[in-house]
Amino acid sequence: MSKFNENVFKATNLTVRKRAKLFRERGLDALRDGAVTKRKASLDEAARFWEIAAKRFRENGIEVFFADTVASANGFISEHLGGARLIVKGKSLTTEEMELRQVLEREGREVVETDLGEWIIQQRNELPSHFTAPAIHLSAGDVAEMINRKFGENLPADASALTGFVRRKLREKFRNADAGIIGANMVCADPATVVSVSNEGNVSLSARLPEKLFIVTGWDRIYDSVDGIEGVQRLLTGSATAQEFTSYIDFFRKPLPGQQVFLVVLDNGRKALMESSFSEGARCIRCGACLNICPVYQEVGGHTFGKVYHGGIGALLTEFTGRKQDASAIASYCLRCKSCEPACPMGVPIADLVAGLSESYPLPLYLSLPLKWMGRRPAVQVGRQREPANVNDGQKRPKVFDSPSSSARHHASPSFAVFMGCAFRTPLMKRERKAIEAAVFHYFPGAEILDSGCCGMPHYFKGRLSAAKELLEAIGRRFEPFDRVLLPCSSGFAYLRENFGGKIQLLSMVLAEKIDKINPDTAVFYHQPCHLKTGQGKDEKKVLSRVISFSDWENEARCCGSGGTYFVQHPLISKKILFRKEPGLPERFTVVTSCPSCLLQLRRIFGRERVRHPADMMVSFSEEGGGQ
Amino acid sequence: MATEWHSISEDELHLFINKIQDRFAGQSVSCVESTGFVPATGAFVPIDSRENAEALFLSDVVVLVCRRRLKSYEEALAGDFAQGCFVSAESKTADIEKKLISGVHGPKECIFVEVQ
Ligand code: SF4
Ligand code: SF4
Repeated sequence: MSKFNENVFKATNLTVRKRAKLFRERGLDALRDGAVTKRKASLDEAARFWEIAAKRFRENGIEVFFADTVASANGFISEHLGGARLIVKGKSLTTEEMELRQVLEREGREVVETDLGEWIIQQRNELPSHFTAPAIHLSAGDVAEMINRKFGENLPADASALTGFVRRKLREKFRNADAGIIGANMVCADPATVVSVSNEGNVSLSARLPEKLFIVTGWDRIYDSVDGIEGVQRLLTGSATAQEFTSYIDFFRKPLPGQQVFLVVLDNGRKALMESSFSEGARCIRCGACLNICPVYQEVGGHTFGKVYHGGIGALLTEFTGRKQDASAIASYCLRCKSCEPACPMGVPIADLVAGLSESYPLPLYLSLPLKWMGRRPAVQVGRQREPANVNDGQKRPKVFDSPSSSARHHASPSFAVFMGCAFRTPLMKRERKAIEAAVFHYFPGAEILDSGCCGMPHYFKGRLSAAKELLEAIGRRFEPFDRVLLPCSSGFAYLRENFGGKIQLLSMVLAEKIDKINPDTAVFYHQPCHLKTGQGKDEKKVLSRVISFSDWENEARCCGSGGTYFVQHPLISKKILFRKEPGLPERFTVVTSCPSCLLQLRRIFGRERVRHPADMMVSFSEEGGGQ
Repeated sequence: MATEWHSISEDELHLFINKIQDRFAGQSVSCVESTGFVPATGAFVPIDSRENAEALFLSDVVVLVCRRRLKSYEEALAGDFAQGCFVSAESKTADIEKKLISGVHGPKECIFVEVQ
């Protein structure tokens, strides 16, 4: 089977669109700060809140067991199940991590997954491929084929008929089960309450029809109190399934008459995660929004980009709760594009955490050598402005390229520098480099060009943190004398701005303030570099729109799959992501982007002349520059 | 419509439930009292027995009687109960190709009745 999966692509895109609509219409983003604060405060004192919760649950008649390891959690459940033969089970990632179903099946018990998606993958002997939509990789045809083959049915590939079959099949299981196992999305200390969200009703039935109930959860699911949990829940369900409320939000405080309830709390690396430098990852509420929006996940799904836990966050969770080799393999699929971060309701800096994680992972030679090359020269060499070299490449050029002493030259602010970065020194970017030099010479006279250095971003995102730190320190020293440093590369800009703050500015945005509207001879589309999505300079298009009239393009914000070196590491995936950029463009067009890596990647499908850097575009077509 | 909201007076409640039973003749219909509801959003139902749970989750159609307005379901959590559920819709899934299907394991119809 191809590693690419169109079912995943369609389903994730649909959820992304619905989620965006819900968040916009219901203003759910406004809940984030409060929810993150609550989560942080709860995790900071997890031990204390667990102690309170455990005491109160026990007083209420619920048995609480804290398990350090998977083996001890499974052992406890197995022992307390006693002679239970039939077990109905709700969806729970923690129990997937524990391989609980497999353990109990080996003991000769019948364990039935009751969530529809989980039931389907159980029949197929697969792992879930998504946090909240376990069978997202399958079509109705795949499900019908499996049911017909396995159960001797003749069902059509119709979601309604297939769901009806499972409903009938599982009714008797709920009624006859000896025990139920469910997960918990949240556990509140005051008053002690387990919260579980679901849509199908299977959680409620698995929890309440059998006489024994096991609620399995992670040490990181604790919250101080029920106050404010509705905000967290709305963010969770809104991010997961684009629903402000799921059909059922179940609460458990005491056993029902005649019922035995056990709460099993698993550590298995969670405490270590919370105490590590990756602790921000512990805020993850497993909503899966980062998977839905991830360009890599959209193409390959969770069986390639994950194991029990998927995507970039999956690499981190696997590192702490699973096997390191698996974590390293999962991390290798992450583009470090940061597309996922704005979608995360808990503000987890996923790409940065994966970068940090990668520090201990080996890099293949084809990646480590270019990084060495990029970092080998002193971080910054300084050059005074030179007149732009004669651009004698046979192309028609605007005046600005050959009239550097034009009276139109503007006065630059004092203490002003332009940092070219490493991308613009490659032969592939010769034209852009010349255009940028000309623009600087013309519009920012007196500015110093800080040349030839690498900002260290590629090193950082590949986990070469000490090399990245050295480069940053060298650059920091060199930037000190300047009030403002302009970068033509949007990715370097976003990275350095996070480190040095507002003095770092995007050349294209500053240039756009100085140039009048241009009239290019084709429709112009904007490609948004992923690293601008997370906040830094995300309004580049708005500022550029003063100069360039952009046409609408539904794929504007879609990742191009470049990821610096990703196209070398995973060429097929990179190409597949790139091809998603193609639809929606007319015959004659120009795509503008200020990330050199995106620019080179987009040229692979659109050709050299159709993809341009904004500085090149603005200078080439500006009246002052001579027009074309 | 798999989820409906109605507003009626106390006097009309009996008749209303009869009508629902006629409308869904041949299917199991249960009627459950909530202790509070958030208008157009959902209702909180305390669950203190297995029978309660069966009424709420095993019928084909559930009618949720709503008398007390809440600002949010958190208000209901301040009360004392063994177990409970905030119900906002019928049982549903989108697990197969994201197609929304009602009545996976629980009711196919969820009818909220706000009693004035
Ligand atoms: S950084 Fe990009 S590739 Fe990595 S998980 Fe996030 S969206 Fe996916
Ligand atoms: S990292 Fe954020 S977006 Fe991804 S599953 Fe966790 S909470 Fe959701």
